[in-house]
Formats: sequence, structure tokens, C-alpha cells
Amino acid sequence: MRILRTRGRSVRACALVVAAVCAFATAHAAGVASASPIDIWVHDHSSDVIKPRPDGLSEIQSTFGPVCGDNSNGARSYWPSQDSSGPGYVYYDPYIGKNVGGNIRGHVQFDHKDDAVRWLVGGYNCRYISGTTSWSLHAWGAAIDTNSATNPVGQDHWNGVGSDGKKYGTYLPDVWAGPYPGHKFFWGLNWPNKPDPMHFQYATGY
Amino acid sequence: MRTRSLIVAAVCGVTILGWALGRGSDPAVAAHECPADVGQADGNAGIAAVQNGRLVGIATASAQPALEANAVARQVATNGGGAAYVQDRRGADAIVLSTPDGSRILLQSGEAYHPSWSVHGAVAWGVDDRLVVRSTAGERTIAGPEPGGIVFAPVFVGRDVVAAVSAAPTTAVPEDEWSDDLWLLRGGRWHRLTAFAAGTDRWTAIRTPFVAADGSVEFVVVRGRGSQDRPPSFSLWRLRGMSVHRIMPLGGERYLAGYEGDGERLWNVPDRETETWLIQRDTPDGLQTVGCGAVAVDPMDVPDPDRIGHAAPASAAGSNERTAPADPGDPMEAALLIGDFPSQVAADVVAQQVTATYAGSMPVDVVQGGKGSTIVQPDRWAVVVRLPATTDGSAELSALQATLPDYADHMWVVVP
Repeated sequence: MRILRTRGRSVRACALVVAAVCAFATAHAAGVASASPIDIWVHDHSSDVIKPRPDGLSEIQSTFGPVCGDNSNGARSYWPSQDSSGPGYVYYDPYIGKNVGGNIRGHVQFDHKDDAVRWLVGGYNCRYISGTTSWSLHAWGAAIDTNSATNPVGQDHWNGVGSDGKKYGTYLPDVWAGPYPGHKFFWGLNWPNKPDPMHFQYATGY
Repeated sequence: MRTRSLIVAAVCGVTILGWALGRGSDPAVAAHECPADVGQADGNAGIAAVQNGRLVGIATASAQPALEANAVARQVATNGGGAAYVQDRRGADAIVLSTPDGSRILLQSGEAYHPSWSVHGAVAWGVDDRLVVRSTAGERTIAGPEPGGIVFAPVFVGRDVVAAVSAAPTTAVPEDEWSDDLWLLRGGRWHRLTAFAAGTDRWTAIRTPFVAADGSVEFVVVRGRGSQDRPPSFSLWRLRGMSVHRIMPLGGERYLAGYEGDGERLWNVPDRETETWLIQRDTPDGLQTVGCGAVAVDPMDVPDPDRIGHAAPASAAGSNERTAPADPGDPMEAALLIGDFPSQVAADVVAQQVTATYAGSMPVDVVQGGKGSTIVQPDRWAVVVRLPATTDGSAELSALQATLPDYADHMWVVVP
């Protein structure tokens, strides 16, 4: 992203430039040789970003509001291999906006693991769980599917082959739901009787 | 004579249900009270339902479902002398049949849906993509018309069965509902009755078919778009013979729950505040609440046993091959993004409006997507309003949408 014009304060931009220069200087002073891009990004694991995860329908509704509600798709980020034709946007509730758009998307990008992502990647989707009158957590913008074409419902394992054909193991599940870096999503593969490996949701008990 | 028969049948039903369902352990469910002013009216409704994990209706309020641990009763169907319902378990489910001959638990091979009675005492239900019909002649399993789909909500129409069928997932819609239609099973062959529009985004669902007193089948059709953040539309439809037509739109989310003795429709209406399904009947003055409980709908107050999982780690060791990024320690900031625009000029125009809206108090940038952007795609432009780190942006999003409604559908919270 290139900033073309700034209106208002430019304090943050200046701070970033200063930080970049300082980081560069510090790295060289310490004798660290690095040709990697200057990875300045904020990942924030505070409770302001990784917020309380609702448990059960009552908490889901009080956290995310009505199903298919206004702005349940009010946050977005741009993902590689979002669908079969290439990159695209993924939408979700702003309650998890910083966690998904900042922490998780940032981790994948700055780990240089965009190619671990393989279509389809989807978030908000106003739909029922098939055959029921229960709404999918996607209808609250509280769940994300990733690498769905190779990780369908019912498959009892994670297929970590990325869009470049290479094996990434459980890198993506680790980012979404693992103990490290720990972004607190619940992984559908942990439903023992009806595994859903593509599915990561910011709720339990539903 | 008919009235006397119904009374006898109802009494038999009460007795059987009380006996059959009065055993077993209490399910661990939260209490969700039926509104106090409803009283015992659900008994008058003459239908059974699941409320607080127990069967209610037909004076079975004191009866307890015979449930296995972690199982959930759902989708109850009654006839004069018996009841049938799904015992939703972890993994494969069971169908419970309670008749004057006793109570039977029929283990299934997969996810079971919506048992339904014929006037002659046969029962039909769905199991994954198959239909099961059980009668005095035995039990038959019939493959559904859509392999990999779901057969659910069957009803008997004479000697035939009409069932809803949900299409199998696709690569574009890898999970959840996207396309339902009604199918007729006649002479062992399936005949498609409806062809509702559905695609990658637009979807149609069929819910709660019931046979009305005149022999027609009434059902609720729900239509929506997956991408839109507004509730789908609900309408009531009727199948008569092979012909289907819409009867009326419905004001909001509700599903058929059966009919009263006078033929008036009964509805299941969700009260999301209390996670309670209300049973309401049509009256000249509108809907009147007559009871509580889930009839053909799914209880809200207990989770699906298949979706109770253990929060195990995503993986074992060996997957941390990447480098952990340094944490600058700064709080993360969100931003509002208005876009995408095909040109910088177009974005500049909107940026001026946004700047004026905030009277210069908020930093407003025009940004161009490029390789590596995570908020706007390459060769598109957007306006970004940076927000303090103390907010997740949801309140500011709603406020800006209200101020600039022309762009309301083109605003998002992002992390720049």
C-alpha cells in the first residue's frame, strides 16, 4: 500500500520512519546481517485485540449482536489465494477485526507464508447450518474458513499443502488456533465426531 | 365420535410419552423460562415440543426425555398414539419411537433429521443423504436424489413422501446451506418439485413442511444472500399436487409448528433474548403466544453435541519453523476504509468529504493498493481514516455510515 496523500497529522508516519531508521541502525550496530524487508508491524496480543471469546449462543449473541446483523461483515482484510482465481477480501465482524486483520494476517504476511494460504478463504456468510434452523457462526462474522478446497467438512486431518504446492504442515492452524502465537480461535478439527478442518471460529459451545 | 377418538388418542399419547420419556438422566441445560402469562396453554395446543431439554406439550410437562449423556432431543413429531423425535448424539444419532407397543431407540448411521408420521402409523426420517421409511412391512433406506446432500423434513402425502433436500457442498460454498428443493418420492423414484434460485451468494432454504388439513403441504421458504448483512426473507408456501406457490410473506423469522384442531397454523418464533422458541398461533388480531418449545426447529438453549469440542492445541511441536516477529509493544490501531475506487481522483473527492465530516480532527489518507497490501487490492484506491488505538472501530464505522450513507456499503474496519 502506498500512501499518496496525507491529510491531518503525520506524526505516525514520522514515527514509523524514525523507527525504521533506528531498527536498521540497531541491527547493523549489533552486527546482524539481514537482507529481509524492514518488517515493521504491530502485533498486539493484549486483551484489547484478543478479546474474550464467547461460549454458547447467549454469549455469542451478546458479543456479536443479531445474526446477519448490520456490520457483521464490517471488517475486512486482503488475502492471497482467497478464491480459485486469486487474492481477494475476507470479511468479518469488527469485534475480531484487529485480531484477524492485524495479528493473523500480519503473522502470515511477515512470516512470508502467504503461499501457505490456499483457496477458498471465507469469513462472513449469512447462512444456516445445513438442514437446521441454527445459524452458522459465519452469519455473525465470527468464523473464518481457510484452505477449504483441501480441507472439507468431515476430513479428520489438516492438509497443509499451500497454493504453491509446498507443504506447510500446520502452520496456518497454529496461527489461527495454536498455543503459539495464540490468536484464540477454536479449530473445527477439534470437533471429534464431525471434524471441520477448514473452520476457525471465535466462539465455543456452538 | 371423532372427538372421542381424539381424546382417547391424546390420553394414550400422554400415557405413552410419560412412560417412555419419564426415564433417564436430566440433561445439563440452562433454564430458559417460558413467559409466565402463557400458563399451560401449550397443552391446549395439542403438540409436543422440546423445552429446556424436555418434552413439553400434550400434558407431558413432568416427563423427562430418556437421553444418553450429552444427547439432545430435537424435532418432535406426534400422532394420536405416539411420538417420534431425534436423539441427537455425538456422532451418529438415534430416532426414538414411542407407540402403544412401547418405546424403541433406533440407532442411525449418521445425522438424523425430522421423523414424521403417516396416518397409517408409518414413520419417515432423513439420515445424511438418505431417507428411511419404517412401517409394519419393515424398514427401507432409500438413497436421496442428491449424493452428498442432506435429506430432511419428510412428510407423508398419501402413499408418497415429500422431502426437502439440501444440495451437497461445492467448492464455492464449502459448508452450510445454499440450495434446498422439495422432492417427491413416488414408486421408489424421486421427482423434483421445486427449482428455487441459488448460487454462490444467493441461497434458498426450505424449512418445516407440514401437511395441512386439506392435504396440501405448507412450508417456509427462506431466501438470502450470503454476503449481505441483513436478515433473509421468510415466506409461506404451499404444495398441492405437483404445483407449488407462495401464500404470503412472513414478517420475520418463524417456522411452521403444526396446526390446531380448528386448522389454524401454529408457529415457532424465536425469542433470542431468552433463547426460547415461542409457540404462537394465528388469530385475527395477529400472533398469540400459546406455549413454548421447539417442535420441528432446533433448540437454541443447548449446543449441538457434535459441536462440543476439546480445545486441543492446533498441532504438536515441529511446526514453528517460522521466525517470530518482534513485538514493538505498541497497541494496534484500526482504521476506517472507504473504497475501493478505480482512480486516485475518485478517492480524492471522497477524502475531501470525509475530511470535512471530521472537520480536520482525524487523519485522513488516500492510499493505493500495491503488492503486499492487506487492506486494498492492487491498482485500487481507498480513503483511510486512522483511529485511536483505544477502539476496535465498530462504533466509528456506524457513525460514519450514518453521516455518509451513500458510502455506507463501502466502508470497513481495517488494520492499516
